[in-house]
Amino acid sequence: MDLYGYCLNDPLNFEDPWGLIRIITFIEGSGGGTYAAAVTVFNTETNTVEFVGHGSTFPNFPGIQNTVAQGIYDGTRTRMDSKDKPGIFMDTTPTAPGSPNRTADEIFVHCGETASWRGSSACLTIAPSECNKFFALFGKEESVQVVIERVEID
Amino acid sequence: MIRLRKIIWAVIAFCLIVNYPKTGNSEQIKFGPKEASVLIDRLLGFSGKSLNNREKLSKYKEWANVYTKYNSKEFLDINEMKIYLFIVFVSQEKVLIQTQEDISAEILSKFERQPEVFLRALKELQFLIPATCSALKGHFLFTGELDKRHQFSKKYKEMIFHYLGEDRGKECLSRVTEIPRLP
Repeated sequence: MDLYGYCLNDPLNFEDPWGLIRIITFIEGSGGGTYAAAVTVFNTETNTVEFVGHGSTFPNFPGIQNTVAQGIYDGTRTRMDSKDKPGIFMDTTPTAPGSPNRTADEIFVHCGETASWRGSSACLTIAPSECNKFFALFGKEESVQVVIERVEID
Repeated sequence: MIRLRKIIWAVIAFCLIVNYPKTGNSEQIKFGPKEASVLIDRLLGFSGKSLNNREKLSKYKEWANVYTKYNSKEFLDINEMKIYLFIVFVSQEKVLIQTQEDISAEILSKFERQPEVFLRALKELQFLIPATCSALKGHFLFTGELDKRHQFSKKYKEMIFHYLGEDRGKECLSRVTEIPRLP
């Protein structure tokens, strides 16, 4: 995983060009599952892991709905106006093979609907019981990077 | 080419909707040039490629505000319903995931509250049928209540055929009920 890609893999000699402090990673098996992803938030200023929890990078029905491709994406902490809930806005993303569309727009990181149901058409979700703690880490309109990595599991 | 033609038709139809004489209802949702430009910009993506994430978020918020006005009003008149369904069309055409999720959560109640107005709007703007009926299926996918789509089909089949005709009605119901085999 390339957490320092945005500063040419040399964080000591290159300044962070966007003032990013936090990197959110979703690491998940290729088969998915509800909240089967390991979610971490890494603070690049303090070099600490501030959050470890559970989430999903797959929609409710992979193959019928779009799955965001692995990669590193820009994001902004915001409120989702239509739901008045917290979210991280990730704009246009490519989708994984097998998705119905090649790209998808308006991807958010948001809270899952219930403990057993992601309630997502393509967005990344955080387990509801851990959601308040997760979103409390970020300042208003804070810029972040979101990293999605999927690994083969035997 | 077909896609471009479809979008040009959509823009022409949209212009006709917003210039339609108003009924004088004082509670009608305000729809001015700013709202029209937000919708057309979202469909045509005039300036999308050069924007950074924050600027795109700002554009998204403008769009979400227009959507929220139409979604939060309990009863829509025929022209408001056409604009609501046009928003559904844009969200499908441009793969706007958060808007699709919002629509998935609400579209069935919008239909069930005013089925005649909903279907009249579709009858008058038939290019909206595929996107709208796919969005209705999206409700059942979003909630996970896949078995309920057949109840929907049974309950509203006659009314849908009445407004849309048998061919377009069948097309709509097949979009609602048919789900590809899960991989």
